[in-house]
Amino acid sequence: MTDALSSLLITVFLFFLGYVSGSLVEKRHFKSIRERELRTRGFVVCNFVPKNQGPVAGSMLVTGSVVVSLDYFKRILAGLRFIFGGRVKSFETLLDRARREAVLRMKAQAQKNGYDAVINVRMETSSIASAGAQKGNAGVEVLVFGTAIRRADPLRQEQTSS
Amino acid sequence: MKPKMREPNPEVNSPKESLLDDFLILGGALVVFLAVMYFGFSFMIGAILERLQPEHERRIFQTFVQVVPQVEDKKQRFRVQAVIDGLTAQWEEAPLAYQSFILDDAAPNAFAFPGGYIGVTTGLLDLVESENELAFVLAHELGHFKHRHHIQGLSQNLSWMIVQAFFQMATGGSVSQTMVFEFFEMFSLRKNQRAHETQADEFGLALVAKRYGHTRGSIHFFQKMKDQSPENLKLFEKFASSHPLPEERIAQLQKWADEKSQNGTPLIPWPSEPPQENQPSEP
Repeated sequence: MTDALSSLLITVFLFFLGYVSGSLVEKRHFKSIRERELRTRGFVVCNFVPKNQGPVAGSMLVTGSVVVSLDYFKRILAGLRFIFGGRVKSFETLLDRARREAVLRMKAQAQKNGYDAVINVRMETSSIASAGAQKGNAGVEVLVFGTAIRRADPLRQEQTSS
Repeated sequence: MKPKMREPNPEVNSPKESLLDDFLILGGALVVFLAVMYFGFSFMIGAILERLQPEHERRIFQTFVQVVPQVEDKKQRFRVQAVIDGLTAQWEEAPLAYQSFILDDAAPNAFAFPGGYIGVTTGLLDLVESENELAFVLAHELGHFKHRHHIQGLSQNLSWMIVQAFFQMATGGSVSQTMVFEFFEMFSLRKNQRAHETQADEFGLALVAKRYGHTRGSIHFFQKMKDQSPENLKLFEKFASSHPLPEERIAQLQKWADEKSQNGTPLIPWPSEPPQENQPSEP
């Protein structure tokens, strides 16, 4: 009897903890992402190599990597979705956060090293399997990488000062 | 050239829809689906099992009972069997010769197995202080046979297993331990089980009264269970337990006993010597 009670209480506790903490963390994270995106909106990131970009003074491989995992509430919700089908909304916001955070980290690395733009950007996702007794994925890694370049033309000064 | 700057507006990939609404709709749909599946299977399996003749039932479930690990205490088993035989002698329309066996478990309990078998734990035999006390527990199990609860219980358990197995397969085990299951089990299955226990109590008490001419000692077992049950879990147990609370059963038994008013007769001490005749056959 006490087993059933404790298992029920643990489930209820994890469920509400997951919902409350997950919502709070997500809200805060989105706020921070928006702020940083606004701050770095002038920094060029593109997934191609511009044809006439002019001479390049230096380049470097830059990466941004984020590993995310689901909270208990989202895990249950996703489990329900696996039965009924439809959009797994709980994953959508989570992966959106991961992608945007990874891009921001890549930008931060490029900016820190004094580059002007990141070109030829690619995005990779890989799931990290759980080592524990529980089956399924422990989390997902989103890796964004590209070539950071420093321009040799006089426009650079004006660009970086903005 | 300086690129044209705009406010980033990438919110298209993270919809602002409420996840809680999503959960309530999907959870509700799941509960309905599970309930339909459970009751459907329960009805089908029950309908099949109900048509089984008691002799066929025994033949089918004999094998299952034989594989249950039993305590080889013949003396004790004969004593228990003698009590059962004494009770069934008073039950004219008993469809089978009920047989007993002893299970090695410290928790005081008794079980009615399909096929007419009554399993008694060593914990129960250590706990009882009079034959009357044990007789009521056994008569209660006979009550389950009388009302065919063992068949209903079997069909419910089987369909419950099917539903859980389906669920495990469908979700890969990701949701099996969630509230949906816990709540469904507690508030649906258990309520039905508690009603069965009360029915079995009523039959058991009547049978004990017939056998011994009084019902004294019948509530002793529940008085002991009541003392063992922690006070702070009472409210939870009231709804989540498969049995009614001991105090509720005591009150109900006393009410029935008062209606019959056969109290005041001396109890037979337990353990009694095993009777020489009327020994049970091997289950």
